[in-house]
Amino acid sequence: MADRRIITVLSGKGGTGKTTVASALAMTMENAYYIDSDVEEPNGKFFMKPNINDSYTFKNPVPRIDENKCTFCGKCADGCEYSAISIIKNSKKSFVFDELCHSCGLCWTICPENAIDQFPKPVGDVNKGIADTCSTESFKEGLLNIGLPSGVPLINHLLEDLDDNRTYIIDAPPGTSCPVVAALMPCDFALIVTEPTPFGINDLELTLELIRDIGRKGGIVINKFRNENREIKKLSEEYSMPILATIPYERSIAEDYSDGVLNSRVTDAVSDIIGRIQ
Amino acid sequence: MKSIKEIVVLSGKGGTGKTTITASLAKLMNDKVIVDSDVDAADMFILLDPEIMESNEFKGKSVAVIDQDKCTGCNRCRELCNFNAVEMKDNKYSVNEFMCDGCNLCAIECPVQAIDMEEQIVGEWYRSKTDFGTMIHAKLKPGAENSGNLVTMVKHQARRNAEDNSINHILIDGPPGIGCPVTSSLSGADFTIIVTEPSLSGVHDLERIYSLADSFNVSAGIVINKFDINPRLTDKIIWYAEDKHIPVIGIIPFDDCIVNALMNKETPVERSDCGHIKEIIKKIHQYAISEIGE
Amino acid sequence: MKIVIPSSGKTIDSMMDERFGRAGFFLIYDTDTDEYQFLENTWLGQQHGVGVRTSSVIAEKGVSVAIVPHIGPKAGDILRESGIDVRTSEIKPLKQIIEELKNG
Repeated sequence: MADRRIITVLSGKGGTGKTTVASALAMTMENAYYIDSDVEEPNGKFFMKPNINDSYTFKNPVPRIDENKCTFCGKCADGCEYSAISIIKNSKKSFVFDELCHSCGLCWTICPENAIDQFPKPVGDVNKGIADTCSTESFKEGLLNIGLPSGVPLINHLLEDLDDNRTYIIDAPPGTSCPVVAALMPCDFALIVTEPTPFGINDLELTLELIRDIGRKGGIVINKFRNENREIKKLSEEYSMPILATIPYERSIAEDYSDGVLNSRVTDAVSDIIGRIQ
Repeated sequence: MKSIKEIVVLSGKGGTGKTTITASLAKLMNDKVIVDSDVDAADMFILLDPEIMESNEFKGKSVAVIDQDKCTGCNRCRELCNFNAVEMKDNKYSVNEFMCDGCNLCAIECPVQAIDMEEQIVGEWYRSKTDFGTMIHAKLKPGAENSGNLVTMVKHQARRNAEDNSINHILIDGPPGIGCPVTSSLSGADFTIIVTEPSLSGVHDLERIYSLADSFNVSAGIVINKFDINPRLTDKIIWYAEDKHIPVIGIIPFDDCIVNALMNKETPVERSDCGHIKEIIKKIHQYAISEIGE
Repeated sequence: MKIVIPSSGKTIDSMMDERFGRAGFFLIYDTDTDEYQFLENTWLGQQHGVGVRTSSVIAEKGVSVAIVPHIGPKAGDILRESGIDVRTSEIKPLKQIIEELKNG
């Protein structure tokens, strides 16, 4: 347990360079494992260039009502917080809406007739592989099926059963709501990538607040850095999360990013980060 | 009765310039209610400087709370919870509010009725006045769930406001990704502007967000931002668009004037050094209006 | 024959509502007796699957025709599968819809 490290890289605002930093960290730290938990838009593969050798579909149970056993009592529909079931007593019909179901299990647990079975419904795909810079399994990503409302079950699945003595870099989704919380839960350290724009700073504060509420240690990387930014410095002090590194604002970094190439400015910054958090 | 038309600006990948373009359109467009539906990283207020006229609490899911005096430690709730939200420390059971999904199963099944569901205030939504029309926006408490529901709420309020004031258009700044807040933003929309960029990630995400928009039968137009950082991938986006018969309605260069505008909390359309960008955004505006009608 | 129409208000002079699941009220009208009642949509405050809730309630009311401007796929399935004839109409005053229905 003591030797396991889990670092979640997050940003609040999208497009600040989260994936760039997360993948650079994973490729630089010894024996690190990269997990892309931005399951709505996983892009880490463009940098990690993994050789995928294991793929499967992750499934979550949804209810199937056996109309031969069902007495149309309606308890499941009344109890479902997500309106995923409808029971029409008059016409003796039952409806299940998979896309509204959160797989909580209430319906099949409370059904007095045991008339509800669990049906495994595909949520998304998991791809595992060996990253360019590694010789063992060191990459996985989740890819949420299009049209599904929540990536949280898939994120939780990706973050289950992590090895005891390994470093994990979790690339989080953008924003500050439930999928980000799922990506933060297992971590020991939260690394925030921000940019010194009014948008970036606004979202940085929301992210700092979240990390403090969940109770994790954290640090900040400023991407697209131009000159000293007082607001970021103030926030860093207020939340006691230090500024660990900066990456300059340069067109060549954006150009390299577009092709999945790591710019040397990024690897320099990542060395600074590793030096400060070891 | 004329029906109200909705335009939603999306991107899949974050940081492609969605909010900048939406705020610019808000400044060019007449007769609309403005909505920021990126409720968990709402930034458009920075560019539009809204004056809040009305603020309302938003109640989210309920969260289970265990009464320590009644709990016998039978472990039933922990066994049942599919969200792993029930924690046990020193033989004391408690619910992690960040993990609890509010499904109510533990409260129903607890043999000694030691669990209650407590409603939570997870955010606020606002009706504001801006120089460019009414704006409906919201703020979700960091870490809260139900952002899709808050999106539905702000859209509902925007529609009501438009109905009450005979306004014909709703302009929405959407969230990134393809999950629940995005589907809530797309539902009922008439036209979507997808802002992408020529990077491997941008192209990948464009394909995913377009499939989602298409499954909602919402017609789309593509804007390629920072097109000159990677001409090869810009070509790829254009081929993709042709293949899917999606019009490319704007191509914007990587230009410092845009970043400078944002640094001053301005949009490119009001800056004299950004005249060429303004012309491009005007064309995007004209195209969108021709799609949905005046 | 009992029909249901989503309504923007709770009087017979109201307009049909633009949406079904998220309508403010529902008019249930018996064309044989001209008796009617309004149901308030108490699910509006809830944001999950409002269409599923409202259509499930309507399906229990013994109506045979629903006249709607637009209906979501889930609510539509519930009504149709419950044997209700779902017809679409332009948005008009409730009275006009009832008159037109009576005149064939």
